[in-house]
Parts: sequence; structure tokens; C-alpha cells
Amino acid sequence: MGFGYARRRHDAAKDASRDDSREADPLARFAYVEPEESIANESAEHRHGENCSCNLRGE
Amino acid sequence: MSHAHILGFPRIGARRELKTAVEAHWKGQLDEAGLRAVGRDLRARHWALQQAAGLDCVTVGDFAFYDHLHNATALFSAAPARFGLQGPVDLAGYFAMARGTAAQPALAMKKWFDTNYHYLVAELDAGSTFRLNRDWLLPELQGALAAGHRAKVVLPGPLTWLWQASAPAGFDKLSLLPRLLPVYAELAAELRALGVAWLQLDEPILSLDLPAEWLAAYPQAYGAIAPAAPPVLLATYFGSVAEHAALLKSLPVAALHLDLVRAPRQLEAFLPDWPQDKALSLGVIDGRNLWRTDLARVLALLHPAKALLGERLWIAPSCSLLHVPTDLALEEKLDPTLKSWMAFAVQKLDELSLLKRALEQGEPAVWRELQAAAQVIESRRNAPSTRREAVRARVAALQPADAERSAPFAQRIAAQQAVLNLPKLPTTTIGSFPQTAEIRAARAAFKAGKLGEADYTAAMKAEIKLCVDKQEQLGIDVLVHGEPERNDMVEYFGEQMDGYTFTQFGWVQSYGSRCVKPPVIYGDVSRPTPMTVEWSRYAQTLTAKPMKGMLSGPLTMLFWSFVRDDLPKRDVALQLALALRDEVVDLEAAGIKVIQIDEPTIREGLPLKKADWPAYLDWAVQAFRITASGVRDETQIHTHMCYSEFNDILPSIAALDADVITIETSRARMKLLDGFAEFKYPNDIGPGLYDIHSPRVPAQDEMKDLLQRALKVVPAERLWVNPDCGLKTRGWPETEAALQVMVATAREARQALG
Repeated sequence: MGFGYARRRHDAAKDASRDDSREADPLARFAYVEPEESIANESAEHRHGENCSCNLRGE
Repeated sequence: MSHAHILGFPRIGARRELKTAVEAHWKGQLDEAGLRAVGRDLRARHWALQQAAGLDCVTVGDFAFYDHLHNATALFSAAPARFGLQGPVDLAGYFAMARGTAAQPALAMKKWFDTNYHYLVAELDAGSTFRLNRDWLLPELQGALAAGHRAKVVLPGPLTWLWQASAPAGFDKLSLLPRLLPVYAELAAELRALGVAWLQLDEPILSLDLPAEWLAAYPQAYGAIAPAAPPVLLATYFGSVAEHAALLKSLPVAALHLDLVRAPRQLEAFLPDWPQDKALSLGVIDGRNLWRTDLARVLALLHPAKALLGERLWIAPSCSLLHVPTDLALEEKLDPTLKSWMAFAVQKLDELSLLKRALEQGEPAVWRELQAAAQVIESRRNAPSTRREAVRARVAALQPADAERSAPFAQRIAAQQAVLNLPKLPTTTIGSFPQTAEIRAARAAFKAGKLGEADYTAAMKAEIKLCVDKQEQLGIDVLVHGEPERNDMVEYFGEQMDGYTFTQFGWVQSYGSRCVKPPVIYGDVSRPTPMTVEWSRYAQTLTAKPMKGMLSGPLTMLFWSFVRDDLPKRDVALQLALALRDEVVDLEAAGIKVIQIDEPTIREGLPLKKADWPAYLDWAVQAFRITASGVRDETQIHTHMCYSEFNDILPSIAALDADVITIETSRARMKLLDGFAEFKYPNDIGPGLYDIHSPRVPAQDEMKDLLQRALKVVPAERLWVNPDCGLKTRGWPETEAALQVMVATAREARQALG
């Protein structure tokens, strides 16, 4: 099956994908920042489903 | 060659970029184009990582702005009529179904098998129709193809998608299959025309105890899809499908994926006579946990498979990597040794890449990397930090008597009543009280080092006093301290136990934009010092009424963590049980007469196949009982469980032998109690009298009605009055108002009882 990519291309992609440079990364401004008061502060529309607030955890 | 692929990649982004973007969109701060751009960038990044690892194709279709099963609902135009969506489902309609609207509640949410991922349940009925909505999936695929990727598209398989949907009682969902299959076939033909290399159809329901008619539908389903499709990979995971080996070998698919992490022995049912025209994908890297793979062990398993299958051998993680965090490289505070033992999704791609190269080029070609990997495995195996002899000895010395209270319930409850002197229908709450902005601000300041320990303690004590005063004013009988000092019911305890560690970025998606960061159990667990005793002791000094001590149970501590994979879960549960037992005993010694051990997760550990339930329930019950059984008869043990189907495990719930169980029942209008009544549940029960998931304050008539229903099935002398669950997500005004109604309802009922 061999659909391998050229190794050089792998490395370039790897480097690019792991680039920590905030400027180069279009997603950098979307890095999640914990709110000052950070605990599960759910709004009502999130609290539904078969589980109660114990189980539907998450921030 | 050996084909390497993944079944799916975590979509949220290493820094939870998707959460930021989706929530900003919901708040109106990011328009749809902006949100779509974030999705595009995340997918591009994840595909680039797969390409960089040398995988043979990238996986397309694993991304979702909320949930991938909900994506399929949009793709098949299967929106319930109640949402009144006009035309094809667009992003706004997709979110309306996911989150609810002013007029319509959201789609229900359910746990995805035994994971902590929750999916949105499609609503189907006899009138359901399906139509391909090309606004979904296909644009994502075009993005991958335009970037030059060789694409494998993943979708829920038709039978799994139908199985997970809800339908009116008595309606057979399977009858919709003939309507659904043409849409799959139409889509599959388009994918083939676009040059998609593979179509992966996920059918994890094959790991369940599936009714015969559902199994019988597989040839029809795949016979309808496969002829027009790209080569089809049928993916199974989360358990063994060995009993279906004959069926799976006969299906018109080009490849089958097996989860060899959860069910390694199932390979024997497939490998020897695997059809010559099919590839076999072996899931050998754990997609459910964050430990590095023992590559030498895996290669020993793969070499014979390679000899038999040649190029038809595929390698992959066991399931989608959705269930593990994204990138270990971001962790800066983890102990370097512990960090070296872990692999998040990105690192699992590297492991897969190394396995592929070892298979293709021979192990000598990658000898150095394999050696380095083996050293890490060896380092973990021999690490003194994972092994505490005193803990092991204590578990080994456990006797049946350690899991037994000294007297039966009837004697205990009499002894407890002599001490507690509670009225009929005693009132209590489940544990937490509103986590106000002030509490969260104090905790954040303490964590940031801006608030000293003494000031933080004083702030929390003030909150506890406020809580106690309010409960006294309300006239509640068994009080709680309100848990202002706790951030999370697992992390709070894990932080104080040996054997636990915590990551900074180890987030996994729970539902929608919500993520959890499970603690990591890496070593033998013990409790160096008391964890909650001082808070409870202080709270008890503020009142003459009984103060309930509050703990998370051993199963909850286990199932909401990433658990070490070098020790059976049972053993870890027993270690946790002993650590928590010490806390229970210390609470009793500090004068706490009522202690609640929360176990909302007892069902979470249930194996997928019923035949495996008894073995699990045996140790699960044992773990709880060990936690609870170190105290005197006079000390009352409570437990709390969330809304769940209990009826099929009621004997095990009864076997926990908690003096009082509080359960979430108000949303089901006490229906759950019928099972308890039929079973003749022997101990005290506190069915929730109101739903804490809404700020709405129920009228007294509503609570009275529910209490009357409860009194019909539970004798008054064994009935407690309490809300459905903890109140931490509520505000004080509605909390006080609802509790006032609850206490008044209990008092009125007491008078009526005489």
C-alpha cells in the first residue's frame, strides 16, 4: 500500500505542527485561558442528559 | 509494508482551542466563519501530525463542533421535527439541538459505552426519514484532499448509529435501516468518486450483548453500502467480538479492526483463517489510557500476525484517541520520570510510527528507538515510587470481616437513632452548597499564591459558618459543611493521596465544549494524613445537630482517574478503599456521627457484556464495604448515587449495606423507587424530592406529590427527605427557597403521619 510521504516532508510538517511560536500559529489566540474563578460554572443549558451534575463534570 | 492508521484524533486542541472558539461563538463573540476557521486549522494541524508520523492515511470525519454522532444526525438530515428546522441542518440548527432552545429542550445525552465521553442521542420514530446533507463532512473531506492527504473517512456504522438513537416505546428502531442504508450508499459512492482511500464504519455495538435480529442485519447493511463505497474498514472496539468472528469474516468489507488492548485473546478467533481478500487492523496502542506502550510486547504479538497476513496487517490504537489528552509535550510541571512513562495522542502517533518502521524495516533498523522505549518501560516496572510495600501488605491481609459492619442493619439503625434522635422523615442535603463567586475567587487567589493559607482557611471557615447558619435557620436535621474548599470531588482527594499525580493539559472532552482533566493514579495509593477531618470537626463545633462528613468513594476515585495499567483495577480499588477507610475512621474519632461516601460511578465500571458483571460487582461492592466498615454501629453511613438505571443491579446496591442511600429520582417522578420497592430494599432511602439541575423552585404541592408517591413504596420510618443532588452549581436564592419548601413539605408530612 505505500502511500508514504517523503521523509523530508514528514519532518517539515512535524516541525510546523509542533511550532510553539505563537505568531506562526493561527490557533494561538484560541488557547483556552482559565477564567479567574475557575470551577465548573455551568450555565443551565449544559446541565441536561441522563447524568446529574456529579457526572456531567467538566470545565 | 504495514498500514498504520488511527481511528480518530482528539478534536479539542492541545490547548482546548475548540472550547474557546465554540464558547465565544455561543456568546456572539466569534462569527460562524471565525468558528469554522478554527475548526479548519485544528483539522489541518491534526492531519499534519498524522502525516508527520508517517501514517498511511489521515482520518477525516472525527472532528465535530459538539459531538461526532450528532454530526451524523446532521449529515443524514435526521433532526427531530420538534426543533422546526427549515431546510438542511445548518450550524445554528446543529447547536440548537445540542443545547436546546427557549421552546425546546436539548437532545438527551448519554455516555458513550464505558467512556466519560457523552454523545447526543438522535430522536427517531416511525416517521423518521433520512436525506444526505452535503454541507456536512464533505467540505471537511475536500479540505483534506486539497491539502494532498490520502483520506480515510470515518462515520458511525449504520447499526451503531441506529442503536444509540432513542425511539418511542414499542417502536423498533431497526425497522428504519432500509430507509437509512440508501443514504449511506449514496454518500459512500460520492466518497469513492472523490478518491477517498478507505471508509471506516465504527460498529462498537458489536462488543455488547446484541440481539440476534441486530446481528442478522449486518450482512444486509454492509451488502448495501460496500458495493459502491471505497474499501470499507469495519471498526470494532471496547471489547471482544470473537463470538461474531464467522459473521465478520463473511461481511463484504475490506478490513476489520479489533481492539487488542481490551480483548487481546480475540485475535485467536480471527487470525488463523482470516480471509485472503481482507486486511486485519490490530489495535495495539491503548486509546483509553495515557501510559506508553510496551513496544517489545506488542512486536512479539505483531510478528506472527505479520507472517500470516503480510501487507494485510494494519496497526492502530485500540480505539479513537478521543479519550486521551492531546500532547504531553506541553506538560512542564510533571515529574520528569512520570512524564517519561506517559504518551498522549501525539506521542501515541510516534509509537505507531515506530511500530510501523520496525515491521517494515526490521527491528535492527530502529534498534536505538526501541531500546529507549524499552528502558522507559523497564524504569516504570522497577520504579520504587509505584510500589509501597505497606500498602500491598495491607491489601493482602484483608479479611472478609474487614468488609462487614459488626451488626446487621436493624441493630445499627436502632443504635444510630439512639444517638442521633432524628424525627420521622429526616431532612438532609447531598453535600455541596453554592460555590459562589467569592469562594471561587478565594480559591483562585490561594492557588495563585495571592492569598496565604491562614487567610484562605479563614475565608473557607466563614463560608462553612454561613452554610451551617442557613441550614439551622431552614430547620434541616442532618447538616453538611457545604464543601466550599473542594474544587472537584476526585481532584480534591487525589491531591492529598500518595500515588496520584496531576497534569496541566491532560484534558479530554466530556461533552460539547466541556472537558475534564482526570487525575493520574501511577502508584500504590495511600492517605498520608487526614483529608477532610479538620473541616468537618470545625463545622460540627458550630451546631448541636449532626454534621455529615463527606467523602468520594473508592469507585468514583478510580473511574474518574487515568488508572495505572500495571495493576488490576480491583487492586487499585482496594487500595483506595483502605485509604478512604482511614478517613472514615478518623472522622468518627473526631466526633462525626454521620458519614456519606458518594459513589455516583458504580454503573460506570460495569463491563459491556452482562456475563462479566458479577465479577466486577463483587469487587466493587467489596471496595465500598471496606471503606464503610471500620466504624461503630452508632455511626451512620450514607451513600449517594446519581440518576441512573439501578434496577438491574439492585442486589449489589443493597449489598453495599449503606445505612442510608440518597438517589436522584425527581425527574423520573419517583419511578425509580418501584424497583427498590419490588426488590424490598432493606435499608433507609432518600429519594430526591426536587431537581437541582434547574434554578426553578418547585411549589410545595409538587414536592408533596412526590413525597406521597415515595411514601407509597417506602415505609415512613425508612424514608429521608433531600434534594436530588449536590447544590454547588446553584445560587443561594433558589437554594434557600427550594430547601424551605422541602423542609415545610417534610414537616407537613410528619404531622399527617402523627
